[in-house]
Amino acid sequence: MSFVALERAEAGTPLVAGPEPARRRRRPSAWHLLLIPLAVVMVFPFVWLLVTSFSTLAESRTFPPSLPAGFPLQWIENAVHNYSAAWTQAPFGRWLLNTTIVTSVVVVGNLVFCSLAGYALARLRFFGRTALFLVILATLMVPFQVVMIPVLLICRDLGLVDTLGALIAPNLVTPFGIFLLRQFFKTLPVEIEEAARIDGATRLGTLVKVLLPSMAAPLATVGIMTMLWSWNDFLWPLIAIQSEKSMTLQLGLSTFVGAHETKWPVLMAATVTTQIPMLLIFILAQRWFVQSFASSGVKG
Amino acid sequence: MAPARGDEAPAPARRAGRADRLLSSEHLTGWLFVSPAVLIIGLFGVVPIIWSVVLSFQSSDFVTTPTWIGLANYQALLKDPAFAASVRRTIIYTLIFVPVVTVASLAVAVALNRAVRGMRFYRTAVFAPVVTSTVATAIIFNWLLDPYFGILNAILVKLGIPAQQFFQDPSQALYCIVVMTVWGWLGFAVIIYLAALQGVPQELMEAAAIDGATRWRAFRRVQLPLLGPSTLFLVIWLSINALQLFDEIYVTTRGGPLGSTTVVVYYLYQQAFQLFNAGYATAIAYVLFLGILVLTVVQLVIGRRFVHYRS
Amino acid sequence: MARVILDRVRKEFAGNPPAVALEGLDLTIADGELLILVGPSGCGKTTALRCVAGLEHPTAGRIVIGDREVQDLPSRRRDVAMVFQNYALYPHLTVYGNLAFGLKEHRVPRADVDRRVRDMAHTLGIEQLLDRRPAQLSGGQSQRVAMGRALVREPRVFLLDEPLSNLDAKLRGQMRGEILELQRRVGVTALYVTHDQAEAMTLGDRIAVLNGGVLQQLGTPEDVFRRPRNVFVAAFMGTPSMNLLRGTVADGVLTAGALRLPVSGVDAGEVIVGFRPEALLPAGDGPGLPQIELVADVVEELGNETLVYGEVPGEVAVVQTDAKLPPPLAGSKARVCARFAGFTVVRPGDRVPLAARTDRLHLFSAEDGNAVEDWAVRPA
Repeated sequence: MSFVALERAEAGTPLVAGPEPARRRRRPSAWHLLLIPLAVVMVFPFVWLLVTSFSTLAESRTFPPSLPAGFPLQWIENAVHNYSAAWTQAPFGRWLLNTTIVTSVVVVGNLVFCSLAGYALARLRFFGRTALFLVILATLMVPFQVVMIPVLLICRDLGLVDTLGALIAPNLVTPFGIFLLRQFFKTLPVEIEEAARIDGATRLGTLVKVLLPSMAAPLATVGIMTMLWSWNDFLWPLIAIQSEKSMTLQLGLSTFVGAHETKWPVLMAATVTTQIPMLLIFILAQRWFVQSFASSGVKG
Repeated sequence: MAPARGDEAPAPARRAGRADRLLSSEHLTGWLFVSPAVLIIGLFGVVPIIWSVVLSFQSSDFVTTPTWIGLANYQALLKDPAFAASVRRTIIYTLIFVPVVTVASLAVAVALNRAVRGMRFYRTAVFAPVVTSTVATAIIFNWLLDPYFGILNAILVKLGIPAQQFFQDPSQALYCIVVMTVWGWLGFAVIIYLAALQGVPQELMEAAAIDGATRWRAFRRVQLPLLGPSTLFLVIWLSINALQLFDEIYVTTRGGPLGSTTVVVYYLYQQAFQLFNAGYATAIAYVLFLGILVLTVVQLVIGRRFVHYRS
Repeated sequence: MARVILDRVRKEFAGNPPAVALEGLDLTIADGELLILVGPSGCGKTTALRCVAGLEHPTAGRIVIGDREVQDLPSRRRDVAMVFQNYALYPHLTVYGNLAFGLKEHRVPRADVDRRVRDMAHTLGIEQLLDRRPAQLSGGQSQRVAMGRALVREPRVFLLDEPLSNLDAKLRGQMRGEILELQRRVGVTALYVTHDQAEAMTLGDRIAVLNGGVLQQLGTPEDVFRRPRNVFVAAFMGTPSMNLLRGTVADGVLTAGALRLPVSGVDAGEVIVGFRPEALLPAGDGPGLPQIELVADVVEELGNETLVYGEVPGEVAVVQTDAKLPPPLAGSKARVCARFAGFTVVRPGDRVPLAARTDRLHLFSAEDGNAVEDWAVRPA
């Protein structure tokens, strides 16, 4: 074969890039000595939570505690008993529905309204823009406890107290989301919008069709953090909701504690069911979660 | 058809006035876009902030018409021993919580940054507590630390240490809360630090190695300083959250035993929704706000001096 | 100051099969010499540099600095210094801090640190920048600081990884001269990596041309340019590249397209004939020389010279010198380039009669690409 006329593929194959750590021995890192115990400590509470939900009441009342007897059949029987007890003794289904509704509406609301506001504050010139931004920034600084009583009174005047509306309305738009998205909008090159405008798009059209599609990461951050926060919110539902039928999952769970305090297996079963949705989403979308939190820290 | 004779020149254009500019599409569009945000934040943010200032100068029980009492609430606060105690507990809590989380998370993040195998598993394990709700965390730890049947006592007894009362012991309860919240917050801080560590370019560490730095010195003199902004952010964010501690207290100790876990926000809650002193509670909230503000400013000022932001 | 020896250095990266970045590289850099490692991307030059620096560990072979084997030593114990392509300045330290960093890590006394940093800053003309941070520096300033940081330590070996590639053309030319002058003045042994063959020609005492992890040729710029050892080096060095035509030698006659030459010292078989653009003269200026007719296609008037691209009868030889560019199309007609001084009257489409200088012809074997040594044109 002629030396000349090298095959393109052969000559063009890039070498495996990347600096290889200059370690001669391939021994496992000593950091595992720190990480393994840490992982155990972090995960153990979950494990014990689960195990307890598979126990009988009597077993939970023995000291020292041990693994429940009769793996796996007895475990399954215990679990069926505990989980169904939890679900029948309190309207977890209803609470789950409530929480899902509230969180979904709040997340969508935030994504939509914070995008609109963030874009306007970043790119549109309108009278009072700076003042408005400063006001929004200021509300970010004020802790919830300062406003929670007046917000309760306002909700009372609006007839929202004890309804899902009270949980949704005040949280439809958050200063955090506006701030984050505004910062991000500012990093996008103006040229893209100008090109869209020349092509005939309206402001809204530009926002929806051109800008937002390239903003997956910050939108995910706002979405995920809002979702997590709304799902796990406790203080506001505590003071805004009294009737059982309008409670959220966390609030309902806390009332469940009051009624079933020492019925540990059932309580644990109830806790597991309330945490599964978020944990499941987290495990599936771990990357997004981690990225969201990391990037929010950078902006902070 | 030929144009008619005597066509005048078109009328000179009128100069756009202020009204025109206001109504021009950009102003209108701008306000249109921000209107939902303005509505919600105005109604549920700005108005309540102003209202609560007023409320803090009033005496109100939610039902009857509030009466104006001027600075009485604040004056009472200054002399209220229960409030002072709650402040003290909150500060103790914060002073332990923030450094522990910050230092521990840095160590964990450094470890995670080095260990390649199993990184995903460790990250999941460390971060999972962050997605659990405060209520669930409290329930879990209530169970783990149950004085009679909790597994932690079982482990201690096995190690020859006497069983503890934990949440039921006035001298231990607050520290149990610390342990619980550290567990819940560690992952968040680790993620922040991990992102920052990974943001340090590989080349810088190589340059440091060539310049003669050992691994440790390169960490201390190159990576750690570059983590300054993250540390500052974490300290501020964690402090703000620590000062607002509430949920876990409500679910576990309800401020007890013997009031040993009544922190500021819990005291506020008691005042507002158990004793129906809305005005007084709001005054507490404002003092808390002031405290947070002052602390944050102090942290920022001190932090800025030691932290050099990379542009 | 020390010599550097790479002895059968081999570097593989993980993979299945493992990717070989260096295949047994043998190189000796004399004390105080500036050696250039040049080649297309992926040829292994940066890997070789990083092995000397201690940022990569060779899979096999030895690296000697001075009289010590260093391949198992960590970077910080090798007494080398490096200028990175992206400078890698410590963003949180001032320029002073950056310069002082390495000295402090080597436990140099405080007073000496200050003196040496200031002296180096003075030499590089960056005294007024000492209090600034890297973010506030321009490209050229950053580059100087990077060099200062390396040289202030008075290392035994000075390593440079494409230090000029991030600068604009004008600055590049200026910095080239400064680097050369600095290295000469300090007299430190230097290993310089670049993918730009023009840079290699102007800077090095010697050039090492690499391709695919294999050393192609080691020699002075003149050696490498005038006497390329194989067709890769011939095609890689020089802009525009050397013209390469396929040809055959049979019965003592070399035939390449329209070129016919009686030759001796060449075995019969397929060959590649190479001639640089400047080896072509207008036919009138070379009466006894073999004639070629070029049909002009593109004429580039550059002011001081003109490049005429066109087709000559024959078949062009394709040599991949840069993995990033698409391979030239092998066609039936050969496209060559001729270089003339000043302006010409050639227009696209013109038939240009040219003569080829036989003393500037190169012959390479078509089988392995190696240069044919000791061949000559037989007098007719």
